[in-house]
Amino acid sequence: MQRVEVVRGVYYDSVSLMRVAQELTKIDGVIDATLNMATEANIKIMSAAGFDLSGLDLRPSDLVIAVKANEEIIDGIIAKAKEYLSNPPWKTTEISQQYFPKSLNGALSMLPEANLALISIAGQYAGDEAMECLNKGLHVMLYSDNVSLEKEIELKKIAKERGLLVMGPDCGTAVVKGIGLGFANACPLGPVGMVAAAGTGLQEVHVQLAHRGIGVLHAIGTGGRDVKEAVGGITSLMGIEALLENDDVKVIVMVGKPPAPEVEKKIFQRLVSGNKPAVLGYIGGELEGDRPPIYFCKELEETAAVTAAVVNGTDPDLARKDLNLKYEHLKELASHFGKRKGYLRGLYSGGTLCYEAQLVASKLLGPIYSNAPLDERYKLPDSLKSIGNCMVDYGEDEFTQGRLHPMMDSSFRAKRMIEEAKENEVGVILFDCVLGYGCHESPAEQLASAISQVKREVGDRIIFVGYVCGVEADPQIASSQRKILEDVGVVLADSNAQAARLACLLLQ
Amino acid sequence: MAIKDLLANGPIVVNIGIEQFYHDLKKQDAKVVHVDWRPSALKSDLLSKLRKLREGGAN
Amino acid sequence: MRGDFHLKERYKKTCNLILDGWRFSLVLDYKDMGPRSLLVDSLDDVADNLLIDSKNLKVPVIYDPNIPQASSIPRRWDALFREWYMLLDDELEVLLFTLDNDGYDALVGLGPGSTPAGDDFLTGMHIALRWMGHNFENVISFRNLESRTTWFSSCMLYDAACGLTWYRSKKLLEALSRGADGEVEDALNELMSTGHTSGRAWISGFFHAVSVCNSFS
Repeated sequence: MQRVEVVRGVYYDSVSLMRVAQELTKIDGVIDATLNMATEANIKIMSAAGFDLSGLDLRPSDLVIAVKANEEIIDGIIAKAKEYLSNPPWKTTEISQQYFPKSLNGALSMLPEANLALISIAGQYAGDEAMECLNKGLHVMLYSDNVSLEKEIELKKIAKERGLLVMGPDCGTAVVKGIGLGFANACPLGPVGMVAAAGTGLQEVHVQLAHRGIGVLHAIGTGGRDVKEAVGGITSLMGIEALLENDDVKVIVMVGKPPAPEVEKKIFQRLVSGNKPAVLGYIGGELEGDRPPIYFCKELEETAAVTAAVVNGTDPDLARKDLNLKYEHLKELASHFGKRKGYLRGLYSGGTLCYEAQLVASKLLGPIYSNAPLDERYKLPDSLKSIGNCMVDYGEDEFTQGRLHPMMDSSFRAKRMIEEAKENEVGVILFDCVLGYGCHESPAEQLASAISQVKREVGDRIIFVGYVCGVEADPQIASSQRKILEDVGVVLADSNAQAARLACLLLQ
Repeated sequence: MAIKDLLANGPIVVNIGIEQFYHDLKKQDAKVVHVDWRPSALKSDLLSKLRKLREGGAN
Repeated sequence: MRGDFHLKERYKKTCNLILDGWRFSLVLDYKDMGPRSLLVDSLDDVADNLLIDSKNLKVPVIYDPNIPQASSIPRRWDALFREWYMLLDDELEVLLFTLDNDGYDALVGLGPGSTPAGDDFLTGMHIALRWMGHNFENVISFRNLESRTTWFSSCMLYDAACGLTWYRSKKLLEALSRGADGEVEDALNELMSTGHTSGRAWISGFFHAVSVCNSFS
């Protein structure tokens, strides 16, 4: 049976809510437990998970505790949830016994030399907080999404006047002098400077460069909307300017979806006059034909391969050829594993990785449905229900409002794997597993338990193809995460582009 | 501080929001302070109580 | 020091003894030192009616509990002090509510545990007032204090009023006066590690008193 309890007018951060839910589901007899602020999106997700919330007068500031459990324990579980909220069992660690100031001013009195604010509070508050930080002379990295376009433009214009950077909104990753901010991999330092309008795009190029022995000194995130016409690439251009000025940066890499034509032109012109080698990785872009020292790429791994060649002074075209050979080789690998019948289902935590996978797959399998599709005609009416060949980006707003980003908690995605496998027409499930600072301590474990459950239920009918975006030095250790997935029979690829190709080849 | 200086000195961070980011910066030996942020609605609720307290001159 | 100490409370790192109504403590960790405490190597032999012979102590005195006088407090911490009420959220909001309605005296004994959070708040407050050289006699009534709160808390409040404090709070006073980077943060973290809400309530009371005094100066 299920029980739903509403607690009004309280504020808990999403991490606490997640941890309480996790603690509850560990208890014997609990089938499912979830704690969410009652936003529209959460209500929908909870209803889809089978909780009956009808007839409740819910407001976004309400906390909903919903539990499915055996009848005899259910009252106790609700009580337990409340107990955990007011007195978390994990609060006994040293971590939460630290003194944290409650305001920006208080924080600055403790660290007056601060130069950057990393803001990850709910979008409706984040814009104002960012403005306060700019007023204090701080550069801003705005991890939060759901900040309005008007606010973004206002912030960036003011910042520009003062010579300050606004990275974001919706900027998940940045690297400044080798220090990772938000979601970032522990890659080596080196001569590359990046500007990225795509969080996991930045991570993938960062990681792929590290695999090729190339380090990155700075990676400036801009947020996806920066290169749209309305914002005009303010942060991208400021970032490029700073990297051109910086003598330690020898090669500039730009990563993101293709900018608006006007913005693209400005970026290109600045780079031409800047006279530093540059690689423009516009994912799914139209531009062809390198104009040394400026190179154009369409995929993330290609961007890294070409950049490595430019840094090493080898031929970028040769690097592309090598990569294509590798991609050809995937066909043999696919026949080795045996072709499957049915649909491809991609479940992604990284937005750019999902986007790139759609680009690859649409060329091989035709149109791909998604909650964030390449072509609006193939937009999923309901993100929770797949259609045909389909890829779901769990980093989209409908999944992240009031809950943790999928890179911090894969449990939601893991449950979806089990759901997908119930459909007889599904042949391949494709997914990413992103590592690094900020990410879950072991995403592979969260996914692996779902995968082994699927294997038990449907045997070999479905093949799982995965990609672990990470390096050995990451807190999760890439090789251990790979092993966890390999042990449950996942076929792992060396890059996101390769994983997507292999998944398609397994169906063709 | 100019962008140039930010890149030259490295980030010295005020982290507002997700506590995990604070701990990950500490792991990288970055200088960082975390703000235990609450929505201003909650703060103003506390503030109004405080104001009443001052006006009443509690003793 | 010689006498019939009765063992009152035994914790992992501390034993609290009582003599003539006063608390005395034996502690394993120097950071737990306070007024009338001794640093010892082991608590294993501590039993009721304990006799302590000062001649047998290796380190007779290592902690001076007297609250120093603040010469001046660097203004850089003002914003931190002003956060005092924000520390009273969640389970501590009852303190703010009570303070609002009934004043300081109503905080005595408020909250669960052996040092109710209200007492922690008031202790922090008295130490701040002492430190800043202000008069505090009318803040709360000390009459029958021991009947209004726990034994440990009442001793703690008397001590604060007499100008005595604990190692961790003294560290904070020193760090604030010096204004050195990181020291204040460390000292606050140390204070936070004393009990679930104790440290937070203490800091809140301390900040409250300083910010009230600052706003008059």
